[in-house]
Amino acid sequence: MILRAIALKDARETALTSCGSGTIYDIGAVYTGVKAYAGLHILSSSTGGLKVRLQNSSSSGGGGMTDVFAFTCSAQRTAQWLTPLTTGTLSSTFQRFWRSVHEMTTSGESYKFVPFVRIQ
Amino acid sequence: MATVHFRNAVILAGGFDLSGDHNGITVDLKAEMLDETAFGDSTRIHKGGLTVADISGKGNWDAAAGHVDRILFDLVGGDDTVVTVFPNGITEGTLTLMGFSMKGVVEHYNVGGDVGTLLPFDLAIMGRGIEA
Repeated sequence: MILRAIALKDARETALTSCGSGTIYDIGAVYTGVKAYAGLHILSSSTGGLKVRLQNSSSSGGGGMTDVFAFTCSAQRTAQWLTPLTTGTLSSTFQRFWRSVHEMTTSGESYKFVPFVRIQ
Repeated sequence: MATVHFRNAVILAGGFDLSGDHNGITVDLKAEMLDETAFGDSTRIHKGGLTVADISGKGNWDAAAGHVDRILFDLVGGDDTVVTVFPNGITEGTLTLMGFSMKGVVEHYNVGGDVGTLLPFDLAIMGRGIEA
């Protein structure tokens, strides 16, 4: 299968050097009959580790953001493709506003990465 | 969204951005056609079958670290390379300019050309057809 990928963060050109979260986007909710897919490309690495999570909420303002996808912490260039989720495997459905959150295990690290999501 | 001046494709394979090594990329999604024709029909009757996805690319060969030769040579035949192609840069959160992503297996990586030219390469990645 092939997905239509929606990037939640474009950190290809300038490496990020501190923990943070991306902009909230209206991607769509996970309704019955569709699945949520997520992937991540880590394009440069550092000595510690990068952990990326994808969160969603019913609020465009970011209130009540909850983790939906959590990628494995990695200190290497790699790509990950997670098991898709359905309404049966999501704790909260019908939440259409999404963002990415990135954390670094120690200060002074830098990473380039692109997380993406798709509801289809 | 309007037409695209095709000059800013983004090609991500595993942990590498191979955009700068490529000068051509094709995403191909197709369905096998099943022949449902029976006696008495006056036209060929087709029925949609299994879908198949693959991505093929070409460009100028580069053996430096982080470039195409160092990466693709080791990927040939290996399963589950995550490949993502954005046709016109990356715009965060857009539903109108999405990329294409799949888990695939590098089916071939060819290097070779004619005298006097930049040494070209081409590759094909076949979709694994799996969800996870």
